[in-house]
Amino acid sequence: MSELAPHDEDEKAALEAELADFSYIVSHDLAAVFRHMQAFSGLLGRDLAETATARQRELIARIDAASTRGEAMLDELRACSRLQRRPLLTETCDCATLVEAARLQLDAQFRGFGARLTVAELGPVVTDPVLFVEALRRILDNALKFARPGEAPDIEIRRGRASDGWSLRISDRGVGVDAGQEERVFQMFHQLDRETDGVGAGLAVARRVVRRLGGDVRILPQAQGACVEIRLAQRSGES
Amino acid sequence: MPTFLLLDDDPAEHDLMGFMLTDAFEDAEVVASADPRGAVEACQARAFDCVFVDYNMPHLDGLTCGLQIHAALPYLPVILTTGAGDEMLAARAVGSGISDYLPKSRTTPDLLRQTVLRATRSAEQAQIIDEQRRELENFAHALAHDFRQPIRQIRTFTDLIGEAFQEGRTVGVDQHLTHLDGAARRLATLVDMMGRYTLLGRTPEIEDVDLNAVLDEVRRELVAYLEECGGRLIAGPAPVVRGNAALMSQVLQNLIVNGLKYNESPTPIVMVTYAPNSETCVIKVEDNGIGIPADYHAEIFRPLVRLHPRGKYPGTGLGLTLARKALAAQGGAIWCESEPGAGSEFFIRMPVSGAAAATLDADLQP
Repeated sequence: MSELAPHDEDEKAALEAELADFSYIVSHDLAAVFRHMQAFSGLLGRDLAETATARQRELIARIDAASTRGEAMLDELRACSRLQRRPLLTETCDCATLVEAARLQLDAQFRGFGARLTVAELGPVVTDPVLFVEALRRILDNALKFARPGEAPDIEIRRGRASDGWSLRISDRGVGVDAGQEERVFQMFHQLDRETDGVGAGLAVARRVVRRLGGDVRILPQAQGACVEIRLAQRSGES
Repeated sequence: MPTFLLLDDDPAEHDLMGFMLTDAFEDAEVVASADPRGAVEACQARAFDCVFVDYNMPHLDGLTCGLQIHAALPYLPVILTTGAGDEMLAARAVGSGISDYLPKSRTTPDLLRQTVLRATRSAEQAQIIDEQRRELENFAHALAHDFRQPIRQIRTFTDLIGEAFQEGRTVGVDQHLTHLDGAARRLATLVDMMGRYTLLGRTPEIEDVDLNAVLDEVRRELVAYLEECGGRLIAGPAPVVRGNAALMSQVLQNLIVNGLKYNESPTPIVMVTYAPNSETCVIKVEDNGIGIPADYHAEIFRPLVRLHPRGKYPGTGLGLTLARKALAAQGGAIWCESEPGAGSEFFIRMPVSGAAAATLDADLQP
């Protein structure tokens, strides 16, 4: 029998390094297959432009939609994973600047919806600015999407009560979250409403990012619309 | 401002260490206590940068106290301070929850500074590595579970569309449909593989596994496949190894199917033989297939590395990666020897009874 059995330690190290890639490689492969499906359903639709029945068209459209959604889910999952593995920074930031950075990333949506954003005096916050903006952007994006039909989104950002530590409240006058659903909205890929764009990852990713920052995100009860609260643990001496 | 907790029953040591710490770190704050019994609570109540624990204390010895702190706050560096004669014992504890030790007689501000910086750096590293590992697990779990439902939908649609086009198919339409169906199947397989992979992250139950029974089961599973490819599986009386029967069955089935699949012989043959000794058993799975170039003997165990286009030999490209992980989870190993055109030999090394228990115990002691 062979004398070439690998050395145990080398074997272990190689295993760690290679298998760490496993899920990322699989995720790339999944994304490629989702793209293939979009391409082939596109080709099928094109080749049958004249002759397809309504049912055939419907099925082609559904395959296209499902694989587009699959790819979008993967994109979100990968983005989330990247954020979670990023080295953590700690900086004293002007909170209003972070809000503006998040808003700028959504500028097109704000204009498109004719949305209004009111920002109160927010003061400084000690956090990782990149992760904080990523979380905030997702919460704002969510507020924009769930406006009441026919109404422009109206979003207000203010600090929570000082007695509870550092917190930020993002409230909108949109459709709100039904009582009892407050935790479900944080489930990854959970969509309360199939008609809305997106894959149902926004608030889930926001919560995971904020938890990494040592805080949490939750839904607060509110008469109209939704109020999302970001809470961060701040060290003593920092407001 | 670095803050330190100092646990020592000798108040004179508080003064001395306090002095040296403020010398080593300009704005250091030192909290000293003579009683180690409230140490864990003290560390939880306040974010210390590092804790010093005297090895030799009444009420609770320093090592136990240090390990309790580590259990509660795994990323808080704990350094043992030792008097004469304790160094050997303290040194032995380093690495298993204790970051380092400092002999009191030789402690200088400079040594103190270096030791603290080294300990905090490695604690930070450990935290980052743990976070990354957890995140990787989350990611793998999401891939394995969150995609099941959308992929099931896609499978349903591709099945339905195949039926919807039963009549009036052109060659082009037929090709697109075949591609869609193949893609949908591949999605399902990838997610299934991901699920198996995440399961392998858990420690399997290790017991005596009679390989005869495992091979009987594999043979039963492969009856149809063997008939289809006209192949033969030859396996002599097999020994008992330490491992997990379900995992061994998966691994052997995977290797045997590979041997039959990557095979152009008129009669594909896979032979399983054994070389047991007192501590391990090496299982050899050899075939008369197409062989593997030397450059790829390590490569083939990496995920999605394929030596051949998918069209020629279908498969996920994950089988051997999973086999390797399944074996590693059982304390085994796998490697390959082969030459193109001369068949392949896969070797699996597994622990055997008796020796295996000792090896596993040793693994638990860092």
